[in-house]
Amino acid sequence: MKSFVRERLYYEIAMSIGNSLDFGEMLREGLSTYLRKLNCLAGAVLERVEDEDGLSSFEQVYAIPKRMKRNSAVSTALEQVPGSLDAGQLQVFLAGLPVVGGTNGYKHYLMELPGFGLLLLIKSAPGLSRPDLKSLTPLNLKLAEACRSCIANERLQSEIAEREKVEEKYKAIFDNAVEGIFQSTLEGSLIAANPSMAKLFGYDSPEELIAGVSDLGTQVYVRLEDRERFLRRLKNKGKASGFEVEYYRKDGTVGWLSSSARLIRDEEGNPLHVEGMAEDITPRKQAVIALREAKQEAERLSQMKSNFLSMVSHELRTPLTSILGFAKITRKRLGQILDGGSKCPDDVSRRLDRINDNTGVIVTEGERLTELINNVLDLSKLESGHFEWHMEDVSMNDVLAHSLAATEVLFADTKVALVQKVPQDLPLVGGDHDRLIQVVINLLSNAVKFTAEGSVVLSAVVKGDELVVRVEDSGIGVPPDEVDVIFDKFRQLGDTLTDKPKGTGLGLPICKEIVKHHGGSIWVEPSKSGGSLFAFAIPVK
Amino acid sequence: MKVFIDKGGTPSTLRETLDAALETGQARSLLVLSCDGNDFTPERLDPILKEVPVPIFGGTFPVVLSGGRQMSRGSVVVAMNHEAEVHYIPGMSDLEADYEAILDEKVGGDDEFKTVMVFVDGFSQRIAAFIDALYAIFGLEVNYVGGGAGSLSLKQKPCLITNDGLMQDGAILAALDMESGVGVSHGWATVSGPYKVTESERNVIKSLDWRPAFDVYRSVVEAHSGTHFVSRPFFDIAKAYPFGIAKMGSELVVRDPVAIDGDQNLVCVGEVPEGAFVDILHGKPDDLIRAAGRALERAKTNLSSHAEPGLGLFVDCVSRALFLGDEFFAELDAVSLPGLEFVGACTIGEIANSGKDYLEFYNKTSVVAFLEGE
Repeated sequence: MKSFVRERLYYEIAMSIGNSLDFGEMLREGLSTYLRKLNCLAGAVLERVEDEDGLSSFEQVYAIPKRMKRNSAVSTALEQVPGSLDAGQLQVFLAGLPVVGGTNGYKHYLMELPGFGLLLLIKSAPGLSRPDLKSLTPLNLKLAEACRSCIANERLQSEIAEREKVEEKYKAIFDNAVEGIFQSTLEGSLIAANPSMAKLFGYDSPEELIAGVSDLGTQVYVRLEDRERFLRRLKNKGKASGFEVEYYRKDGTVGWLSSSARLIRDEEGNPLHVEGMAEDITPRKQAVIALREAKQEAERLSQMKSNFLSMVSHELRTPLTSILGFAKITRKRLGQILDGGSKCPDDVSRRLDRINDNTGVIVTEGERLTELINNVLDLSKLESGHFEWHMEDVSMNDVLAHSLAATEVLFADTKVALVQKVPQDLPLVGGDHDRLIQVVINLLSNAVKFTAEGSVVLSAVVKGDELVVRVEDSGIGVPPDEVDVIFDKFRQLGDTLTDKPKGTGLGLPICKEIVKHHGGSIWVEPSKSGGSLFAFAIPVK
Repeated sequence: MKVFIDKGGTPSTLRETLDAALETGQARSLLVLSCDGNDFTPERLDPILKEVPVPIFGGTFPVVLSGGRQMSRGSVVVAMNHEAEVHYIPGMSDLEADYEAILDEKVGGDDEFKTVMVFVDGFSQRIAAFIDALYAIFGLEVNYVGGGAGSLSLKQKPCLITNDGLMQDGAILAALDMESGVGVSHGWATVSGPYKVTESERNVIKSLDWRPAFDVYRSVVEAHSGTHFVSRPFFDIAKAYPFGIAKMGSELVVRDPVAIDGDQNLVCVGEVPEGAFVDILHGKPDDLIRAAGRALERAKTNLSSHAEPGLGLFVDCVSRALFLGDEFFAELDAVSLPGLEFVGACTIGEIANSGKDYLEFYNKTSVVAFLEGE
């Protein structure tokens, strides 16, 4: 072939190679022009691939015609492509290229595509001359480079697609986040914001927010010093967490937001911008304010209660003491008169007896009233934490002995037996000696009060690191529906005043507070004898 | 194979001819070459074509050839004793169509065909892309023969004959398990060139060597012919001066400039890729007639020695007929062989491959195919 015709054809081939970065499209144009201009019947591009052991093989990645394996010339040529070559064998094989062969009137040419693989050409005889073949080297070099570029581009496109997928995911998080997410300059203009951020400030879209807010300090912050404080914290600590400020919405209304942000710096450490999150805490803030006001009101009421109790203490108990004292003296004098055998007319004696009985009622009710006032004061002090405790190592044997001695008299005129099952070696507990006696006495006096006949059993036992004191009676018991309320204030067993034994209804709540202060617990359960079993447990030393 | 001639050129006479071909009982498929002068329309022809019980393929052409005669009206029907696998591919001007994928889906991978007859709408815009796809799918061991159907009016209209009717802007291909021998030749020779196609859009050449294409073409042709384009219609002169695109070890591939558009660009039959080099060709009638004879010889040589020719098919470019004028009869004489019946058509571009060359869409070229008989 004349040289100028060859140059012309090769130029056309060269111009057709590498016009696309899509591998298939590039070869569809490039290889078809290559074959058409050289009047070849078939061609294939084979890519060199390495297996896990580093051995090289060649895989057909593109062919024209697509269905050409039936052709014996193609099969013969492909059979000459070796597989599983180590580095040395590959070098020898490539050095031996181009391979030229022929069969059935066809010639085949196996040429190197440097850095990519091989090019196979099939042409009818007489085929390509040696100069024609040699002249193809720069074309093959260009084709190889184009193939490599396409593969690199495919890889790049795949990475871009992967990255876009990830970006899409993060964008979805950004767009759908409940919290406002923002990026702003230090000067106070917004760079980016998500829909929640726009909504927070009363704007319809992030674009509208970014366009509408050019200076966060003056347009958003209610107090400019808050903005300055925020920036100062960012500059000093690099971040700010839960920074709460009052802010203006687009419509001028004021709300509260909590912002957490960090300062982004460049490689030299110069501040670039701020990015972070903001949350509308207006409802929460309003609730806190309401709570604070409620607390102040509660404290005021508590003070009133304390004052009232103080008044009760001084203004009720003092005259009551006088009333009770004089009633007792009057009763004593009447007793002396009536018992001394003084000669009084009968009607006078009868009247004095009645007065004596009435004075007895005054004394009894007066004492009950005194107890009630004392209990109310005790409970009040316990609940308010103003009770004066005398905590020390306490012998529970001593506490129980004192309690038994103090309540023994209550059993004297009854059909109720007091039984004690108390070991003599009970451990010490940390507590207030007198208050613990108060608890046990209360339980014992309650037991005898609600037991017509039978027994009241006081027992104590150590369980683990607790001492459990039990008072079990054979009395009327506690109905199941009252078990839960029996330790509440002013609740007393029984439905009617007439049935109810005398009492203030504050004994058990006081016991509960005392036991609670000792780190223990108090409870009631049915006793096996049908009565009730009150028990408390406190930690041992 | 048996040839039936319809001289009437009406739908009813064609129906009679088709019926006659079918009545032989040996027609397993029908090749129909009809004259554009019949003025067939889908409305009139589709009902007839849809009733044909065997695969039917072909087209309407400016001239139909039968036994050395030129027909401008009527049809040639060939009853083929091989059953053809026929596929119609629409959208031959669809810029987005992936013909390789379409053919890959339509054509079975295991079928072994020996000859593919192809007819395309000659005024479609993506014939070259379709030809490439055809080659990619059917491969190199198949002989291809066919050409562009259409009208000398240069207007696109329904021109492809299929079992579904008369179609436009498509391609019909018939794959046959039938031996053939194909010869291609044209006889045109370079008078000037090469010129680099610096701007083109498919079949429209805009500039050559960065100068307006028509300016370059006119200066060469007017100087060589001694005539001026202003004095005569463009194609009257241009039919004698086609372009040639070089390919190694083969005749130039001819591209026929048939018109100039409003921007003074040269409109060709078939694509001229940007970056290609083209020569301006001219031919003497004797050279062209001799070339047609060469095509015949090559076809004979390329037919397998164990196959007996049953029919000669001559696909010749219509612009050769226009160029040769009265001498076209001599070309028809050159493509004749005692004892072998020849039919054919003057086409708008030719498709051929003898199994030794890359498949091309030619212009102004003679293609002869010997089709294996029984």
